[in-house]
Amino acid sequence: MMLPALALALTLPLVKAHYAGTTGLEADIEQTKTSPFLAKPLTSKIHLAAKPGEVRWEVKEPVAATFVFDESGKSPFPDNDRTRALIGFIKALVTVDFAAIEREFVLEPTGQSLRATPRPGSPLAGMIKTMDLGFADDLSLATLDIAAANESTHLAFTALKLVKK
Amino acid sequence: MTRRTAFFVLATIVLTALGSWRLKVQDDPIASLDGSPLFNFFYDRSPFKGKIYVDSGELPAEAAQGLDKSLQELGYKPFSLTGAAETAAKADPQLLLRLVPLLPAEVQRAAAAEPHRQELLAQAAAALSLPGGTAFLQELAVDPLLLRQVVAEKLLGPLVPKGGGGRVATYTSPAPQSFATIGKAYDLLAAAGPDVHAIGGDFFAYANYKAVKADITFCMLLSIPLNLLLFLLFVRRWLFLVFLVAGSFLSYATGLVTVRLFYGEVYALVFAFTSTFIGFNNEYLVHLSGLDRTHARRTLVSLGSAIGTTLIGFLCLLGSSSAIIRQMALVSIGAMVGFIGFLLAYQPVLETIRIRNLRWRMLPFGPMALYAGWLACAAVFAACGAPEIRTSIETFKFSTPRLDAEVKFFQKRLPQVDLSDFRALPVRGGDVLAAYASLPAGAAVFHPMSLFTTDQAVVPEIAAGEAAVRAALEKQGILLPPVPAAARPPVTARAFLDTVSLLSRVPWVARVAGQDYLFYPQAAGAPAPAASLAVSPKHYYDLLLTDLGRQMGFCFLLGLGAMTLYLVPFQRGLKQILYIFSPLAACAALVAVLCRVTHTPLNIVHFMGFALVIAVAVDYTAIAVSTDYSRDELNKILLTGLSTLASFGVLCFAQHPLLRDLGLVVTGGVGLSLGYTLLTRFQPGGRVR
Repeated sequence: MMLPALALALTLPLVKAHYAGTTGLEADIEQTKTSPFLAKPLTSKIHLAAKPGEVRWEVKEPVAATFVFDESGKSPFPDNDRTRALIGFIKALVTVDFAAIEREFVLEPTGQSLRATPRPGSPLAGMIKTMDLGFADDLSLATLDIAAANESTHLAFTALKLVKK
Repeated sequence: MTRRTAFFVLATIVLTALGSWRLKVQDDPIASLDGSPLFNFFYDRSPFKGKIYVDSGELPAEAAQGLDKSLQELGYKPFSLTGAAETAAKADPQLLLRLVPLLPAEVQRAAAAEPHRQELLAQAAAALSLPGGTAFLQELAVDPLLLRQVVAEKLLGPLVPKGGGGRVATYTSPAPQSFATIGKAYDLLAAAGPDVHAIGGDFFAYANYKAVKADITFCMLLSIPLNLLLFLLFVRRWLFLVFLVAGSFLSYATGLVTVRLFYGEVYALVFAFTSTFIGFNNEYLVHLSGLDRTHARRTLVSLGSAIGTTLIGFLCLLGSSSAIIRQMALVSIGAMVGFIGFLLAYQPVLETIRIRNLRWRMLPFGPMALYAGWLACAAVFAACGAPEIRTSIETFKFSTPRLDAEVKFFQKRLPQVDLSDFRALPVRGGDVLAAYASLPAGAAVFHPMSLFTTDQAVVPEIAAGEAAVRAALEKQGILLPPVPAAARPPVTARAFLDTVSLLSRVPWVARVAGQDYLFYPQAAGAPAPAASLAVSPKHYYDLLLTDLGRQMGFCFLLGLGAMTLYLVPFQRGLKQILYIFSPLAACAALVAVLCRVTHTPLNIVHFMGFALVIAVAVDYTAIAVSTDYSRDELNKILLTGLSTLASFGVLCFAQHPLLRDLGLVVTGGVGLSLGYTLLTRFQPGGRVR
């Protein structure tokens, strides 16, 4: 007897269970960004390596650059509430830290993805409209679509490796 | 039940009902301190007034939301501290940009210079490679050199909370204040675990309330058995206790009605003060019991002296400007009249009560020793100097280790400069620049006026810097829309301070009651201008309470003068009057020595204690000398004195510093007076036996 529909149904507890105990993550990312500020869509190739206390965001193309977000809180941006909220969010997002994500967002499954909407009062509410986390059949993170005030960003994950406790 | 008893039972019930009708109890003693319009203006804008701060830290989202919901259910309403600034900034996005010309020229030049521009370009490139990063470009589109951030850092930077972790939510407290509600919130936050931190005036008030409640319970549990033991030892008649309890009920009722004749709202502290009635009532009861009719004159003299001086003391306190002190005086006068009236109605019965007669040796002394004692006291007082009179609001504050830890936690998140001592300087002729210039060097910790400049020479440099950033970004395919035509007209000093006041929520300048004031944070140790006025709650209340303490001291001096005049017709000469006041002279000298040695100022609580000491200490000596040291009367003094010591001595072990201080002062003063009255014997004729 086959239960394909049941096997494919994405639920929040299912995803949380899959990522429970994740302490690190490594992946290659192709990011495509469109914005009224950009003359044309900007595509970047990135290698992401996250481990407890440190997220390494290594841009390979078009301009090589490496950003390390660690416990020191240092970042290349001006130090203000929005920047701190954004960096905290990115760290939570790329390490699939659901507890941290849910502090700022309400999560609900929509088909094969999870839609995240900022909670009222979250410092990210004015910056991000919605965020869709797309998962492959094996529940590995496949895509991330972020709709922000002045940009749409699509991230496609490949060679994803999870590090568990 | 006799008609007389029925009358008093009915009177007690009716008076209690009348006194309690529409009675409002004010728990917060600080509410009795009338604020000046200037203080009220500043305090109403305080981010701490009627608010609590909750940092839910790393608490899981659901738990944090649950906590928020529970607090809201208790009546705590979410409040945005930056709401006014956010509203102003939303209504006028160019608000901060218009302040740019007011930054020092070198700061503006640095913002337009090549290093800063390169930094911005690097930040833009970095932002583009991160999700959500074009929010940064949006900022650049409006403000290519991020000058708003420079303005915020330079003008508001020292005033905004430090960053770093945590999620602080602000709530306005439910009104009217309810300790049951605060207790629930306090327990709720404690149960949320170590990740959650909370602070607010509510919690200090609640800790105070709990400490006082625990102290009163503890003191009652200890003082009631001690007093019962004393009565059993000295009186051994239940009738005596019946008179004390029934008469005290009536005295509470007459006291309450008296205060309600003048006040609709009565302070809880006044009710706490009524616990001292037992002490006074017990004294009148003891002295009116077992009266010896063969010595009617001396009995009249002794009671007239004792009751009259106590009454004068309370009448003088009616002149205080503090509503609490006036209420205490009114409730005491009402209670005193009620209790004595009750006792007089039962005088024939009271005469049948006998007090146990103990004997002990007394050290006699004559007028020369009395004069020498007064001279010695005066010399000691003169040598030590009059004690400093100073009251701090901290005297009324009770803290717990948990609250202390929360204070330390939140101090790390408070503004980076000490803004705890704000003062207001009157502005003459509307010239805020002149008022600012009149501040002595170093007097202000910080003032935005120090950043005010009208240098317009750098405007072209700013425009060129902005154009350079836009051009460099365009080369990278980043197209910033044109900057909205931002008007940057010259800004007046007053308009500048008004804008900064709006954004920082600190009224740096304001018109209050028809007068303009410049507000500034006073630097510790620096001289404050004579014309400036304290407006921060702590400093304002300290001054107010210190003034009240001085006023009470003046009332006492006035009262002592009135008591002296009152005693003249009762007593046989000046020597007797000097003797009656001699324990007070000894107390004054002792207090002067203690204050000098321990460098402790006298505060309003000490004065409240002195009021009670004066009320009883004068009675002991007045009765002893008026009755020529009758054994019966000395035993009565011993009983009432021990009872007062048992009632106030237990307060020395209270956890609340206010009650402890009160207990120490009264126990020390009464103990000294009691020992002096009972162990020595004044011989006015000079013939020492």
